[in-house]
Amino acid sequence: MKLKNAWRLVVVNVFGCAAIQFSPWILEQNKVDPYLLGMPFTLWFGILISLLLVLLTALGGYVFSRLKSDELKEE
Amino acid sequence: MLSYLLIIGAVYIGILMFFSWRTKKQIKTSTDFMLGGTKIGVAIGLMTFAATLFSTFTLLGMPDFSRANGLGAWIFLAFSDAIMVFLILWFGFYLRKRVGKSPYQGMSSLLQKCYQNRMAGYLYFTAVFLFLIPYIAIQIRGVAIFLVSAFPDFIPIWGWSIGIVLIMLVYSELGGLKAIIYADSLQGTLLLVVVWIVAFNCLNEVGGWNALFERVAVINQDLLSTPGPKGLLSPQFLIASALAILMIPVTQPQLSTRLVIMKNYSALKRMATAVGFFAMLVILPTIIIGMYGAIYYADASTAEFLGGVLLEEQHEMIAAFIIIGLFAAAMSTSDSQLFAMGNEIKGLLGLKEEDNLRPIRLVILLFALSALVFSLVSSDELVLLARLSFSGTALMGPMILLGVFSQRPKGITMIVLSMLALLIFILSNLGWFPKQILSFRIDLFLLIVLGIAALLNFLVNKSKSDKS
Repeated sequence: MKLKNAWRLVVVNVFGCAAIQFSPWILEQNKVDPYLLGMPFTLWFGILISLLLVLLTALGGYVFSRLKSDELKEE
Repeated sequence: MLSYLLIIGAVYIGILMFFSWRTKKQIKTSTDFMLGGTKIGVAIGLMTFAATLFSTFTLLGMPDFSRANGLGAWIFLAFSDAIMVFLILWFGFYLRKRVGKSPYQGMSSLLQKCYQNRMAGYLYFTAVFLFLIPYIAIQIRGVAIFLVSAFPDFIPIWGWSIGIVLIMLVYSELGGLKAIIYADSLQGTLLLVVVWIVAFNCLNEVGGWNALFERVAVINQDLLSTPGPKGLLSPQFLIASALAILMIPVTQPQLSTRLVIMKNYSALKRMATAVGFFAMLVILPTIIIGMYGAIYYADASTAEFLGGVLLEEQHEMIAAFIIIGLFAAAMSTSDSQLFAMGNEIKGLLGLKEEDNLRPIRLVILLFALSALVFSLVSSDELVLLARLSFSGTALMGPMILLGVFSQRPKGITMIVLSMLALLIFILSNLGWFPKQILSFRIDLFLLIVLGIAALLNFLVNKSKSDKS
C-alpha cells in the first residue's frame, strides 16, 4: 500500500473512532450493559476506543514520518 | 502532618532551586531564557508536555467532576485527549516546518507572518490573555482552597494564593524555560504517583474494582452512563468539549512552544503517543476517586470531599505528598503559561537576542498579578472554568490551522470572523447574547462556523493559485 493511502486510512479510522464514540448508540442514555471486567459499558468502551486512538497515533506517526521523509531530512 | 510537609516541601523546593541554579548558568541570550536554549528529547518532552497539560484541574477537578457527573467524565477528558495527541502528529509537523530554523517568537508573531497582518497576532494574544488568565487563576485557587482545608485557621486563602504566585514567579524568573521543563519532569512523576496511591487506597476501602461499580449502581445508577445524573454530559457538550480540548496544543502557547522545541519530528511523534498513554494513566485514577466519592461523599461539598479523600483518609506522609503533588501540578501548568505569555509579548514587540528582558519580565509579573486577582474572585467549579478557558482559546484554532497549513495569502476574512466569534462568545458568557443558536451550544456553533470558513478559505485560495 502506498504511504499516502496508508496515512489516509489511519486518518479515516481516527474520524471513525470519534464518530462511533459520539454516536447515539454509544451515548445512549442510561446504557450500562454489557459489563466487561466489572466495568459498565461507558467506561470500558471509552477506555478501549481511547487506547485504539493512541495506537493509531503511534501507527500514524510511523506512516507520516515516512511519508514526509524528504522534508524531514532538512530538520 | 506538618512535619512531613515541611521535610517533603523543603526537599521539593531544594530540587527546584537546584534546577534553577544549574540552568541559570547556561543562559546567555534571551532565546536561551525563553526557549530553553536547546532541543528536548522524548522523555523530557513527554513529562513537560504532560505536566503542563495536567494540572490542579485534573487532580482536584476531575474526581469532583466524575463524582457529580459519572463515568462520562472519561469521554469528556481521556477520549478528547486521545484525539488531541493524534492531531499533534499533523499539526506539530506543519508548525515546525513553518517556524523553520529561525528562533520561535511565539504564535502571535508567527500568525502575523502567515497572514501578513499585525491584527492576527494581536487578536490571538487578546484571546489567550482573556482565557488563559482565568486558567492560571484556577490553579492558584484550587491549591489555595485545598491548603485552607488542610490547615484551617492558619493562613487565609489570599495568603496562600500570594505565596503560590511568589514561588511561581521566583522560579520562572530565575531559570527560564529550561528550569521549568526540568521541574515538569519531577512534577509529572509526582502527579502520577500521588494520584494512583489515592486511587488504590479508595479501591482498598471500597472492597475492590467490581465492588466500586456495584455500590455506585446501588447509590445512583445514572452515574454509570451518560449524560450523568445532572444531564450535563450530553452529546453536544461532549463533542464541543472534544473540539475545545483538541485545539489545546494548537491554541495554547505553552504547549505549541513545546512542539517547536522538540529535538526532531521523530521525538515529537513518540512524545505524542506517550502523552496519550500518560493521559489515560492519570485520568483513570481520578475517575476511581470520583466513584469512591459518589459512594462515601454523595452529599458532601467539594471542599469536604477533597479534604476527606485526599487528606483525612490518607496516612500523614501520603497527605503531605499529595499537598506537594498538588502544588507541583499547579505550578508546572501556571509557570509554563505565564512564561509562554512572556514569549508571545517578546514576539509581538519584536525583541531581538541582545535586547534586555526587562519588558518581558514585567509582563510576566503583570500576568501573574492579574491571575492572582482573578483567583481571589473566581468560583470553585474548576473543571467548568477550565473548560471555559479551553473553549475560549479554541476559537482561535481554525485561524491558526489555516495560517500554518496554507502557504498562500489568506486575506483578512478569517481574522475578522475569529474576532467576531470571540466577541460573541464573551457576550454569551456575560449573558448578553443567547447561549444557543439553532439548538447548538454557542461554542460548538462558533467552532463549526469557523471551521467551515477556514476550509472554504483554504479551498478557494488553492483553486485561485492553481488557475494562476
